[in-house]
Amino acid sequence: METILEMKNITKIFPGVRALDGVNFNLRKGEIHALIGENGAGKSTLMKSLLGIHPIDGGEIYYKGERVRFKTPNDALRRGISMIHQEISLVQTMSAAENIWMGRTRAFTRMGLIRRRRLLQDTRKLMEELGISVDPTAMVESLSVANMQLIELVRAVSYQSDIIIMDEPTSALTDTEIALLYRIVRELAAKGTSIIFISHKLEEIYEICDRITIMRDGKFIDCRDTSDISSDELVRLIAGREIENVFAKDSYEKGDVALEVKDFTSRGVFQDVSFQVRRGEILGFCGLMGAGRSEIMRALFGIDPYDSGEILIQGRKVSVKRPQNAIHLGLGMVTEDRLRQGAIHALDIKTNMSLPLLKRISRLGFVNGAREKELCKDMAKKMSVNMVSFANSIGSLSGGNQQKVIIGRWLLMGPDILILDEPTRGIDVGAKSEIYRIMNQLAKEGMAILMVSSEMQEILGMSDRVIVIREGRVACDLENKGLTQEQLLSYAFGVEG
Amino acid sequence: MEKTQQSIKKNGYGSKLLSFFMNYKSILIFLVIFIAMSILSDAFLSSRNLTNLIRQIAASSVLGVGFTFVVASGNIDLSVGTMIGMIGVFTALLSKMGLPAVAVLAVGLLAGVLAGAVNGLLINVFDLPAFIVTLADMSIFEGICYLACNTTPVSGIPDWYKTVGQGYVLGIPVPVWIMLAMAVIGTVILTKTVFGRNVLALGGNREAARVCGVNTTRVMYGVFIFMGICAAVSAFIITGRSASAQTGAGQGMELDAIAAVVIGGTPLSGGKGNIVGTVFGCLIVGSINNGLNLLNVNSNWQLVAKGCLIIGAIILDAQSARIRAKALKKKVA
Repeated sequence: METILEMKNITKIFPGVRALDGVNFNLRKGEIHALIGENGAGKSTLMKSLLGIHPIDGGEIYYKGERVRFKTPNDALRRGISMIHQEISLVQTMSAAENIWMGRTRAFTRMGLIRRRRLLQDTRKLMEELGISVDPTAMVESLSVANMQLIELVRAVSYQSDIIIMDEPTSALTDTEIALLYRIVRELAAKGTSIIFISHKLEEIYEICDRITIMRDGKFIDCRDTSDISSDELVRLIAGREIENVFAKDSYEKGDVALEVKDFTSRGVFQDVSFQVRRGEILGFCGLMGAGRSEIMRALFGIDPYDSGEILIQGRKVSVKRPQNAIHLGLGMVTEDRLRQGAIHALDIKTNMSLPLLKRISRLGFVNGAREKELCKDMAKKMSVNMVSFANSIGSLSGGNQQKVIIGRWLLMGPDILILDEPTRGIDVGAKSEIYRIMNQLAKEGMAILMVSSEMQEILGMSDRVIVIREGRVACDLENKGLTQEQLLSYAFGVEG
Repeated sequence: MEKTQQSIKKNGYGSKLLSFFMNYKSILIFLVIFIAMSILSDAFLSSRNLTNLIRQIAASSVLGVGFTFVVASGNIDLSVGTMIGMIGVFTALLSKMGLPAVAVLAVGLLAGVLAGAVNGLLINVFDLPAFIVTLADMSIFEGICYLACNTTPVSGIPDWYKTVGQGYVLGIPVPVWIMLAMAVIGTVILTKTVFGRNVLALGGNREAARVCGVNTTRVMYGVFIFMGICAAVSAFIITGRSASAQTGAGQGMELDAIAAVVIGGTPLSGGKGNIVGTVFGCLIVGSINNGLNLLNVNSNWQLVAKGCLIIGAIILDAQSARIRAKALKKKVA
């Protein structure tokens, strides 16, 4: 089969991190090609480099035998490459049909006016061909997330592209919709369209993909025929060799109950959540996306309000209305969304780290600058933050180092209880294992840690006890002894016996 | 620290100099404009003109100090211009009634605190954007100003009040002393206090600041009240200088303040504040107005020139951010 796209030696550097390091990727005409790797492996960055969203810093791209370098996604689109992004990128206040033909409505105009009937006619025809039944006149905001994704698919197909990139297209779809998507993808491939399929779900990849390219830490690892690689080997390649050694969890003597939550409820978000965590214990929270794990933590820390329930710290009933209260009571929280709720990019590294601490190291409102510097410097060293200078913006650091600064921010406060919401999301393996080492050390020192994570391996590797949250409720609360991924997943999906 | 010093040595003094001008490009721009005006106009360098210039700039700089806080916190305050007019009229009327200087100034400051608190209250309690709230308050303060003085300027203020705007101490005009004092106070608050840090954190990322235990409501009040105090002090200078309270005294000053703050290197997106830069921003705006006046340039063209200057400053700001990002990338590679 002829090769339609070849990316050679692609390198991309972001401030502070090599996101892509000499990556190779080639795509044949009419194949479904999986691109797989952990979060932060560089899959999305590679695709964004192809489309010109991120200009590349090195390497060559050949498309249909010709050397190219697209400047914008529109540029790529005109040449026949379209992408369905993981996040919905539709205009919510416009109809499905208008969204599908966005930017191309000129084809439906007469004397500058849009002929709505022609527009709808073409949309219906296209949807019929694909076997999708969504009302083209419906406002996008009134559609379900699954239907929105289908609209994105219709839009990508409508460009009659030679390459369609799909970034986790099934994440919001139900089984029937997934079956529909598979059928459409197979038909497109049979007609000669090449599909790049980014996914985390192995069964999905074995089901429809012809070949697999594996990436890890911004590097190309391997490219294999799907029929030629077992899932065990695939997992090993994705994770890398050190997977066994990443988690440095020891078990320590557990102390008194540090935090107890009783019948914690926020209507429509989570109900009757009760649990306790002891000093020296790491309590893992897992569950599906949107199950309410993060929401429970946010309410616990006073970021969001809650309706009823009790919070007891060291056995004493307390009220937490805002983060100040929680901090005062000896809690610390590393939020899930580092960009929006963690790092302050306008400020330098030191200032980011010392923010909650300021009150404690000030007199009459004046910050003791020398003390601040000393404490932050020690903490940065303890957390082995890799940086050029304290005075640089936190944005100049890689994700892993940013996360270490944020964790350090809370450790400076000497909390008794630390909430870590997705502590290793989007950071590289090296930084991950360092964060695990730090967590282990903190538990040893007697801190109670609540860890929310979507990575099962992390939950199983680091927790003393695991709570699965399903639809806003505690589905189970188990000691982490001989627990398996399958067990936890069955609780998360609600299929346990 | 060792690493910092190493990296400076490695990159040589060129990059150190470059980063200095990145942070204080307003100083460079000011020097260029100052030299250009000196060459173009004979009258520009005369001590009379320079004293005049610095007095005009003093009022806008004091306002600019407060405005830097507002912008650094990620907000905007359009009501400061009419706030100045209102406070000017209040204090002029009271001083004519024979109230002692201390009482008059105290009432003026209190008026500034209250006006700022009203802005903060509406923004905090009803969770409204500062732009809309201060736009509405701009009109309210203007109305109160006209009501208080029957739409006529208040003249014949006592001598002590004139001294505030026209007097000298140690051979330097009083407004300049006030300006320096406010700039120092502002810089200290912004860089050395918990409040100042909280202002920057709030402007940089409101959610993150809240998670870190910053009482965002209180910081917002603080910012707008401090702005009100600066507006009041600015009103004292303007009223004293012109020996009367003009109803339209502060009109348009909010726009000059925005210009000066941005030219001075405080980004409108918040999270950073540079008070020295703002003072130089005021010097730039002031010298251009003054110089163009001396050159007999039509005042309408002066407005055009000021607009071009603001656009130029913003473009420069955006470009220097890009250059910095590139330099950082090189280090990694």
